[in-house]
Amino acid sequence: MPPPSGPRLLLLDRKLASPAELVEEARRGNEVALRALGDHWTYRVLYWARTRVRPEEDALDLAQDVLVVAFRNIEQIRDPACADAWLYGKFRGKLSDYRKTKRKRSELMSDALLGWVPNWWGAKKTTEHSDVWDVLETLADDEREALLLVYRDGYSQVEAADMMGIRRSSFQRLLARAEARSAANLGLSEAK
Amino acid sequence: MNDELRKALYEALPGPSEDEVRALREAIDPVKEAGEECSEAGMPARREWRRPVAVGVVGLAAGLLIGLLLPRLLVDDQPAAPSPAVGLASSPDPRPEAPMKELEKEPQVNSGDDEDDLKPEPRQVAGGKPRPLVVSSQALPQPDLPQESEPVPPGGSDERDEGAWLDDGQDAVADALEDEIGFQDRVAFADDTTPDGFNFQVSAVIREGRRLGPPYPAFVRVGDEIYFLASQAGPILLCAGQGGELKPLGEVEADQNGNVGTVFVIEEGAEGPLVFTASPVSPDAACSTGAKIVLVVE
Repeated sequence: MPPPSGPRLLLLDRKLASPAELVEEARRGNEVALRALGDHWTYRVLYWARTRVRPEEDALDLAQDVLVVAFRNIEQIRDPACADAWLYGKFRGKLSDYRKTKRKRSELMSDALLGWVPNWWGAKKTTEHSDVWDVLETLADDEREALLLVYRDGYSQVEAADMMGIRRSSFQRLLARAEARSAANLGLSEAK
Repeated sequence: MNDELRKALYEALPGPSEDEVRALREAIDPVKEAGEECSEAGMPARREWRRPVAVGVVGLAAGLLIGLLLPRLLVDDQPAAPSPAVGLASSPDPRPEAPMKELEKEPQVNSGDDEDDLKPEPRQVAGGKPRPLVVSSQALPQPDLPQESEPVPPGGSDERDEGAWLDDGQDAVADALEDEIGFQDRVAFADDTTPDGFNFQVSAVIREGRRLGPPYPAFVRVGDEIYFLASQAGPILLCAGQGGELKPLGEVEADQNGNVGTVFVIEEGAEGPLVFTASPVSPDAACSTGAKIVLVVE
């Protein structure tokens, strides 16, 4: 699997092992394998969370939720060779829940505090997204994920499409939209 | 645009720090969490198909129950039929339909807090089995590397050192690598400094034309191009090996910025840990004493 795996060596009974081998061994009850898998997954999930969620505390909470669910459901992995794609599926589910909750909370706050205030002075919403985080917030969830998987996590388009569970042509369209919108909002030169 | 966008994302979205990883790792015990499922169910973890089937059975039972019993209950609850004097033709049907429709909607099956378990699994990435090691090198007149090309001071550490060593069980790592590839005293992954202060590190991994990292992946793949950076200019003795055998690849030249003018390509058939060592060329330079980099081919 691609890059977000940090520079970590996976050990199994003092031998080097791939993540797939670790999953297989862990499901057989091998605690050494499970702990080594814990190292690998912790880095990977935290990497995803930290590049998608802020503040940092929220990212840590999200990563912790994902890891607990992943370890408790490790038996669900059909093909150990694709364990990281399965893990990403879990991560995405939790990320979606997190975003929904955050959106609701922010809408409630907005209604309760500001919704009734008339716009007497004609204040404009800012349209200049100097901050990359702000620009990412303007993208749809799928577009944001497509962009980050390819541009930040280093997956190929084929791999990213597989991880998101969509067709490659659909993924290409998503990515193209995300590239165009983010480049425009960041003031980057036109796509080639 | 693509490079600019990638750079902007790298700068704005840093990965986790070692401290964060360690804190989270200590907060979760995989053995305990994995055992949680077993103890809760009182049996080995559920098979994935069981949950949707159980949901369907419960939903069907609830639907039948409501469909068969509630109409009777509702009829019984209605007031007595109006007297003929009221006029049957104008009286409404004593059995209202609306409440039934609402009730029929009720048997929504609660998916629980772990709702993502019910979602279809993502399509899986085709995995490959490890292959025997092959690596090729080719001289580069001048590696054209974007940013990140400043030499790292001897012994210095920056963000790229992140996780270069496995914190827990370094001895175990060293022992395992000693078994696997014949290392004697120490190992490092993407970055290493010799006792003499010579630093050697991965400066870029190019995969399908895209630059990865930092942090640079310890796991590389067939087709990846590996670039190196040395802490000093001049001729360097480079060695590579696998399975306990380190072979000198010859001298390569590092430019003024430390960029090594040779790119290494992981070729078809590569597998397992791949070791590179480097040291400044001198009468006593040897493969076994140089700065060591280990990349695991996945």
